[in-house]
Amino acid sequence: MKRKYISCLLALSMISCMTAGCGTAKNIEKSEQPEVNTTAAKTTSGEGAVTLEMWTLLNQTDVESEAWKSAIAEYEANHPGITVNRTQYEGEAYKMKLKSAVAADALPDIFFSWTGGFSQPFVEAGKVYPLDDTYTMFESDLSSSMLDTCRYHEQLYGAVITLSASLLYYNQSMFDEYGLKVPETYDELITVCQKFIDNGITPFAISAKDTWGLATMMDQLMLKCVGRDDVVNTITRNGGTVDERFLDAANKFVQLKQMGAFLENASGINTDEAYQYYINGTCPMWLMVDSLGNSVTANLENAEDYGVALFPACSENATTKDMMGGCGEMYCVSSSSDYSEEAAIAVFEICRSIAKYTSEKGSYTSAWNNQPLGEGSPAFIYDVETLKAEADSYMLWWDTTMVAADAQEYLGLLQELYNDNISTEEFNRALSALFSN
Amino acid sequence: MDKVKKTFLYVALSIWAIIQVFPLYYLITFSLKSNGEILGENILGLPIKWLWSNYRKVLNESNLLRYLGNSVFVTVITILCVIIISLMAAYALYRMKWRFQGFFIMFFMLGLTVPIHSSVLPVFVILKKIRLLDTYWALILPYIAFSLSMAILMCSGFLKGVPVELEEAACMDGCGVYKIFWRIIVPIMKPAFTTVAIFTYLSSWNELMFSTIFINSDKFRTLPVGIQMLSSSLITDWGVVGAALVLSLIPTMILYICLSQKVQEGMVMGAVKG
Amino acid sequence: MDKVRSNKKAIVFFMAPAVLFFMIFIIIPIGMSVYYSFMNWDGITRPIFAGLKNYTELFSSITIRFGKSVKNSLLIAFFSTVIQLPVALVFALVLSRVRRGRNTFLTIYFIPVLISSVAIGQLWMRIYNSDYGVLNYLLKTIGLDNLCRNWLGEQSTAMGAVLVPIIWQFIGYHMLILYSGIKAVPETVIEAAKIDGATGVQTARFVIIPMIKPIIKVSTIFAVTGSLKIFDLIYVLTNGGPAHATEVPSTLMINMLFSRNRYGMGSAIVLFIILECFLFSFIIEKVFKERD
Repeated sequence: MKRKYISCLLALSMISCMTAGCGTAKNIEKSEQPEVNTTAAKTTSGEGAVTLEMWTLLNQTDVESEAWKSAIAEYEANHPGITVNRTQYEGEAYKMKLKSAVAADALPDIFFSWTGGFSQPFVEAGKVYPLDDTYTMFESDLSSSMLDTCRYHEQLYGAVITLSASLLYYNQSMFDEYGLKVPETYDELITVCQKFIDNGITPFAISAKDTWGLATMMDQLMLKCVGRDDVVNTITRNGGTVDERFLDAANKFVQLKQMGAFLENASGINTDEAYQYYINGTCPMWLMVDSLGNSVTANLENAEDYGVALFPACSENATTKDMMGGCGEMYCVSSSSDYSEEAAIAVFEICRSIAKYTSEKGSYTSAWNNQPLGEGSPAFIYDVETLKAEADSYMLWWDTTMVAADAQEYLGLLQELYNDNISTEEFNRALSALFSN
Repeated sequence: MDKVKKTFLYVALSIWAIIQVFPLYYLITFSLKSNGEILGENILGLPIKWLWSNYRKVLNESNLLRYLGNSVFVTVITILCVIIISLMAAYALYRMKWRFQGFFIMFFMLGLTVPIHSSVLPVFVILKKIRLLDTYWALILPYIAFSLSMAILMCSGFLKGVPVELEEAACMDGCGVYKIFWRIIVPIMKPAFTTVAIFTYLSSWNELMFSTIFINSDKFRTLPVGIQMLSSSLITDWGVVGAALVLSLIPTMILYICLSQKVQEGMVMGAVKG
Repeated sequence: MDKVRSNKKAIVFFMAPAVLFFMIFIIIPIGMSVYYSFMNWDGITRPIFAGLKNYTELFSSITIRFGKSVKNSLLIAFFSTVIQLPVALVFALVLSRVRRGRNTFLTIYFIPVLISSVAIGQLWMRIYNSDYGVLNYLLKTIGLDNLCRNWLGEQSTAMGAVLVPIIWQFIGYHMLILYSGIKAVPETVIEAAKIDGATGVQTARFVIIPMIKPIIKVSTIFAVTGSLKIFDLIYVLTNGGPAHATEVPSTLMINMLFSRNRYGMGSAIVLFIILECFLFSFIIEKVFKERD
């Protein structure tokens, strides 16, 4: 028995070593797989070779994967002796990972993060390397206003790729079928929704399981009912009170839900599953940030059936041109990196390359200068660009603008409201209590 | 009368067996189906078209085998270490004579009530300080620690069954305590090894949280994390996700079927002695 | 012999590795958790002393709904004991009576225990899917359309939906343990009962069950403490949603630690779980002692 046991264990160990060895061969990049470890030119390791560790989110599309590959290759070609080792992570798990790393000083040289309140504690604890000096080299390529959300206490801490905006993607052919035009005011929105609902169609493809899906809707309503500056000041505890305008937004949200404007099984599906309903023509409208919205819609065979518009105005406090969006994602350098200067330069160069590539492919519009959309981009992408360029103001989503603890409270309250556990008055009161803490 | 009762019992047992196994049948069949079949045309039946390509896709496009190898390596090393360390400790606690025995017995039993996840952040900080993050040891060391309580308990139960006379005889032959341990105790405790191995395996092989947080590189990633990532990213391709899930189950199943008798005996003895 | 038994150097040698591992990975972390639970700490900046604030907030906040998560974990513990154990016991008793296929059945029943929670979670998510899942499909085919639900997405059904895979997975485990205990009852005792005219059921009730009490105790402790600590399956299935409907202390703790940057609060929850497990183990031991 002992012999059999030992031989069993030995066999297992051998198998494990073999498959572990097998795995390295499979680490060569494949364009579709989600967990690629891009070790592009590792063979040049010799004396003085520098490796920059980089953490980013998972690539969602092929265009993104290609963009990253070529951006890193380009950077390495321009800086011989430096290799970039990039690992990708899934969103929620990444937050866990990032925070553990910050707490234990285990940050990589370059890492992805969200702007606004999310990264504020990192900056204030001195874990992020300021990029003002490095930025001077790129000033002509990237205008300063794009980097507003990456600034904390007047210093710059991140580089950006794209300016994103939350837009209303809609199925034009479904609108045509019922003789409807895109709503520009809230009342028109209700009429449109009612028409669809009367014909057995659910207007919005939305995920409630991913609370940020609900937040996309609520943030827009809040912005349009309250007005940009007041919202921002209130949620960052800079003055401003939660008053009836906020209540108005909450009531509108509940009204939409109760009339049946949202998918019935929204609480059980995540974003990816939700937009399937938009793609297959079940739901005519999808409120989504343009980085995802564009790539999904552009890939459709019947992309010409779709259009993009601004979220309707709900009051005199904001117009349709007050947008939810901005640079919500950035790439930062760790202050404990051994190669912070090289990393800083890398961050800007790589961001610039990726922005250029994705812009040429018509995937999303770049935040950088002189990077126009490529020829042959689907028609509606030009519309997106125009809409974004004509915007009056931008503000980032609530859960990015606020500090993490507040953000989670807000998302929790939103879930309670959506599930009818609390009334809109209670929701409003809780928000008020939260921001006056 | 008895025959009727017996048939009835068999029917009940079989129905229950079907209930236990049905989800697995569903898993295996949908891992071989196309999305069309799974989502509408042929939900329950055997696949009309056997899509082995699902499996090929998983093997070619993801690092599943690598994750499997990592899990095997981590679990095997953990099991080996736990067996040795717990046996040594159990021997000292239950067979030797010293003052703080009682205290240390309570000490180790405390570990049974502590949920492994509660130590996430402190252990992370500790691993970072000793620079073992993102290595196999980042998982092996905590797994060993958390399996010790149960393992020591098991060993103590088995130790009770070892007659003192054996040790006394060896002592008279002039053996020191180390010799007694290695020559007499260890060989006799072989059944304990299986039991300890099984319980340790159960808590280490499927462990999700530590493996997500302590390991960064794909190189060291273990199976549960890999499966979770794969399933999240392939949310719409049910067949491929199914194939990945089935592949992750195969090693466990093979081991179990080969050793099922031993596993059952081990579990049984563990519970009785524990 | 006694001298050998008290060989101090040997004792240290044998105990050292275990004690070292335990101290570093269990005792010190618990200590750190206790320390942090009295602090306001975001994991990055310096901790600020907060006294009992974390605890008071934990029990009073309406958005955290700690009470609900504790209730859920107690619910799981309750159903594990009240459904899992009796069913496992009945089947174990039945298995001890039938002769053929006994081992096959046991092997089959034990399989789910070995499967990782991730796999089980992903699998059951597909079963519960409101559009394509097997459950709704079966309901539709037997004509019970109106019972079709969004099982994991509705507050009213989510907890129940989550309970099923939990119980499904571990029932085989308890079955095996109880079966082994039953097998250990000497044949002679059972024969004696038969001779006295006891039926199968009576034998079970008055002879076997009392004799396997220690085993039942072990099973109960595992079931209860396991339920109080549960994490993996719920994390994969619903991550505590929708709106805390399936939240348990462990998922809440992770949310506190990693989503809200509230390490002090997270540590307070950790302490609560540990004390809870301790308390229940103690109670169960006492209950079984009394009934002896």
